[in-house]
Amino acid sequence: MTSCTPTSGKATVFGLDSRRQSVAIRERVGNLPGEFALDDRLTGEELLRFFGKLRGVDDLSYGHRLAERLDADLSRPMRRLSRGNKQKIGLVQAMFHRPPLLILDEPTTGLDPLVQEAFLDIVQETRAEGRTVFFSSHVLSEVERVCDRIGIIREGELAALETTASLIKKRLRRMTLRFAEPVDASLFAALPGVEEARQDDEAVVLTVRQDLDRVVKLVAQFPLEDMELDRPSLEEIFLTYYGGSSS
Amino acid sequence: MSSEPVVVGADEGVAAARSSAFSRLAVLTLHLVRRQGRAMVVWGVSLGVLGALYVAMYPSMSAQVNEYMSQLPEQYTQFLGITGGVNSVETWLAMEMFNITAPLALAFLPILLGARAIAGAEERRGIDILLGNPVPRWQVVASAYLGMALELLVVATLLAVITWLPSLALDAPLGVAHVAAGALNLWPFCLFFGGLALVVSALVRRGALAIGLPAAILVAMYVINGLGVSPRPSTVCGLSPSSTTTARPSRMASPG
Repeated sequence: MTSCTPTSGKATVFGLDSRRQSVAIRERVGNLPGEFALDDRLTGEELLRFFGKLRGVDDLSYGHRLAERLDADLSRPMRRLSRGNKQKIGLVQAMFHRPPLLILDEPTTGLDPLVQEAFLDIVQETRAEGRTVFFSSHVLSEVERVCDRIGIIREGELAALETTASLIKKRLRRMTLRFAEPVDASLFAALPGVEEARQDDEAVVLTVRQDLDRVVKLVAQFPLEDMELDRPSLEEIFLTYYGGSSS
Repeated sequence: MSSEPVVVGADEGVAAARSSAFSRLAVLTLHLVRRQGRAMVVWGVSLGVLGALYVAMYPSMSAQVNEYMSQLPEQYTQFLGITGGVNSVETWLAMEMFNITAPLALAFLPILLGARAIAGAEERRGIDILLGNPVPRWQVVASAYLGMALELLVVATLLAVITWLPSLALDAPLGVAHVAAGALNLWPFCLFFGGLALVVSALVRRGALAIGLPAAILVAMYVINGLGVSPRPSTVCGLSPSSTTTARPSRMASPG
């Protein structure tokens, strides 16, 4: 987290220099790397106690409550846990000491939907307590739910920093339509708000930026068999709106 | 399942997180030692059993060994650290165990530990979580070295005890001090190679190199040492620190 040597410039967290005062920063930060390994021979409970001792935290009750809410098994050695269960232990170790700042890299990776919900609840509570959570994700729905602001990093640079609301306004929708009879995709291409309309086998695939109402009304004029509506990923939104430039 | 939010001040976690450098170092070191519990027992018992076998074999082999030794070139017996024949179980143990086998074998334990401490942990992605805690990097390195030193001490103690025990059945049992000295001689020797592996591991951050380089130096030292006592003395003999190690057990063989 603070182990990278800058090629130039400097970084500060809570006004502390990331190189010279990295220990002080790490006292205030809970960190979950994207890829990590925990000691295979130790159980979650043993690891929690170890990290507690390192941080001088004697009261592990919050950690135990987090483990309960995330359905993390603290009694089994790491080698006997699945990827998702290890991820839960990783989340608990990042959060058990209630740091003012949490940095979580793809925290929901490997978690089942129920646990993802529980985790997002915890993030919202953390936010409500006035603490800050940074997390990286490619899943728009979870970002929408808990984030106030979204930063897009491209090739190591902050390409965009927007509120979630403004990014959602830019959201595209991808519609895949299957009709009972052939329909010319160019009919849809002529509609305002339709970015792209193409024929894909027997389906018409549309990329719609806005004015969904007109599209639906045109679709209703033909015998429709099936319709799929996909949400694009943040990456797709980024590529659409920021393209090759990083402005 | 509790879901009520817990409101805390921004610095509450920080205030609770004050832990002295010494206690952190102790926590890290004990954590490492504890993690290696099984390995320590395996290494200590294995080498101890080997030593015990040498001790147990001595009464039945002493005559033949002395005859064999008398036919060896002086340089070779010098290489083995034996001058004046194998006239006691201590000398026999020094020649077979403490001069060659144990240092060569046991040095690999700290080499592996040193290599795993930084480079290995990085390669396994295990160091990111550790360094996410408020632990200075020097403490990670220092605790690895301290842990290694403690683990070696435990292994050397096990080796000495298990080697010594069967000698109680002999007419002239091994002196405790002799075995302890032989085992403890291994400690700084092996620790040196562990330290070397740790330094390479921290600087180069490649596990294979952190194991390979100290291991190559260890083996090269024995080769150089052998060349050093060859009939045509080589200038390389002075380069071999192990010549000191091989000399010690021979002193052990004739105490006082």
